[in-house]
Amino acid sequence: MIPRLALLSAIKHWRRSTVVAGAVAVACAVMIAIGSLLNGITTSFYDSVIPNSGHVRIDDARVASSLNPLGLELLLPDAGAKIAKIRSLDDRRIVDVEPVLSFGAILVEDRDDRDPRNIVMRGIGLSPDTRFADNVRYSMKEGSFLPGGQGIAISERAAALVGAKLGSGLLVLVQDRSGQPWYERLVVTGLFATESSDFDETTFYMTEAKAAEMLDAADMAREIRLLLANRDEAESVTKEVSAALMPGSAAASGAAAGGREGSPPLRIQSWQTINSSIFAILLFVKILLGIIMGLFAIVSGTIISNTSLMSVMERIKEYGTMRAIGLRARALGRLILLEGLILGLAGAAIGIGLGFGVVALLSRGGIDLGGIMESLGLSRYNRPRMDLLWFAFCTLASLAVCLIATAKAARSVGALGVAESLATSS
Amino acid sequence: MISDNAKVPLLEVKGVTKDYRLGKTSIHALRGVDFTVEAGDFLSIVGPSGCGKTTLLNIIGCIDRPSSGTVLLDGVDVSTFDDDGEADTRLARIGFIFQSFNLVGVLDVRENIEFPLILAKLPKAERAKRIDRLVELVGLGDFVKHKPDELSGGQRQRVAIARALVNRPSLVIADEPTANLDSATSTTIMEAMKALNDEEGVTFIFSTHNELIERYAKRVLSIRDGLITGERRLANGVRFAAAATHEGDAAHGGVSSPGAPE
Repeated sequence: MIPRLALLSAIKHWRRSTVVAGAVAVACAVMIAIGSLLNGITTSFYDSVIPNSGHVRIDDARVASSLNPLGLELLLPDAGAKIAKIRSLDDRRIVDVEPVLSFGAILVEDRDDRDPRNIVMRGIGLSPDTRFADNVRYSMKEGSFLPGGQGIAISERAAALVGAKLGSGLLVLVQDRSGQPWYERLVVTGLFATESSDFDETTFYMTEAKAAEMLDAADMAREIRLLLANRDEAESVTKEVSAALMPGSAAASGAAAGGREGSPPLRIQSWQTINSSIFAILLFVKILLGIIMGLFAIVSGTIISNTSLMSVMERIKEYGTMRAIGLRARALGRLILLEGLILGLAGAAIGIGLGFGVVALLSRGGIDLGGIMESLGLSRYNRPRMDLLWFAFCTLASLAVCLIATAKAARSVGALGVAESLATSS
Repeated sequence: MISDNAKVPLLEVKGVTKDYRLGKTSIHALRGVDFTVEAGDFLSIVGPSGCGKTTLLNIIGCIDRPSSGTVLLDGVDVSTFDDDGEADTRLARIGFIFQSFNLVGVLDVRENIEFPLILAKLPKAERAKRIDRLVELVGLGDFVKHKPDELSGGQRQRVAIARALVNRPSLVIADEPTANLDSATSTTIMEAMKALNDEEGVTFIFSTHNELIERYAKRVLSIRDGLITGERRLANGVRFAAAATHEGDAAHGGVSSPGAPE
């Protein structure tokens, strides 16, 4: 009968029950939405940033202090030998090793009838069957990604800026390692559109072989990227690769060491080190969202607490009667808590439905978080992602807030004496 | 329901005082009350409003504690019990009937009566047996599924009586049980209580400031300003129905009167 009594009381005082359940529902839904938003940002980070940087990256240590990180003097020599050495480790954790040759270039419109338009961009030379650059390879709108190792892949936005389209030619102007200008007409073989306008307006792709030819940088690489089977093993792989490429040096994560005489110092970093600034920002975002969730929990808790208190205060006499009949104070507390639990469960169920709906709605188009996300190398459109564990956490947290708030009301009632309760006019 | 030990009174109240603080003022609700109640008694406590009747009944019923003095129920000092001990005593040994009925609004008649039995953890079959008997005894057989707000005042009080009796207490305390009822319904309720006292041996202590109701008692304690000022014995109590001056009052008397709305 006690559960039935709690249920009937909740139904009878339906207005207050609605407020309590509503507060729980809103708190739960907000927590789900915010958590899913955060999950979306994190997933975007893992999906786009890491595949672009690789799980482990090797480059010239001087890049860190260089004013022109795309300077050709910072290219790694003997890239083939370094890659062969890494492959010779025969480490099953390493799925792929690939050289990347990035450089500064000017794309010039190929026409004679008027002054051609041009755009300064960053060219990236990659293998046509690269396992990196997911954000581009999966965002092709026309053509394909360097088909047969030919042409260039450029974004639709950049193409529009220089009046290019699929199949048309563009003049790619670079300066080779000897400082001589070099240009070549390359056909646009693929048009892509990622969710980052900043990225789209600054980056184009060609094959690593063609880039090496134009830059006169045979067997050189801007960086060597490693793709791992398990990203969590990046730190230990970094140490292993450091030991292989820089024997005798401090083979630690993020370590830089001078190479043999005449060869540049290497910098070998895990994705955690490479993206440490993004982690700091993600941590800040997490703290910020955590504070928002905390505030919601406090506001909801206060609403629930006050409503529960008003609700039980209205029934002081009824509770006094129950105690006069023989109900112990603790049992009365349990009865009030049970009513709170029923309302909490109802609210959490509504909150899950509400949160699910909001997340599903926001996931369709994504939330435009603007240039801040792009500056981090993330998509500007954040798509909240649902996580069952987070759902469970939100449900339990909402229930906990409800029960803690109800417990306060129960304690207030328990503190009153039986005679005092019976004497109230409620 | 009658005390096992005939030598020990069912209830002994010795030197009970009760003081309340109201700001800097001290209010002496009870100033030293002494009396005993034997099993099977039908005791009325009478006096004007504010004389300490309810305070005394609360202390006897373990829902309040005296400032000094002792309350012995079957020889056991219940005034020293902790909260749980008091709750257990109320559940097992004392039945309450309140002036304003105090039924649980969301429960129906049957559930209201069943509530103390559930607290006492009685088996379902035993609960059903006791409830069936009591609803017939108080004449509410046709109303077991009704909620309190679907009943008349008299019917509600009969539910309260059934609830007070269902755990077979040693003592039933009724604080002005007829104060919120009209005279005809008051007659019904008092007749019901009197019949339970006569036929079942249930000990009742009830308060009233209605002289007509007072005449049902076997014994009357007068209280004024927190002190017992007199005691009278009425031979076996007076049947109100027989003494009724209001025309038609008698028609409402009797325990087994039908439970039609009053």
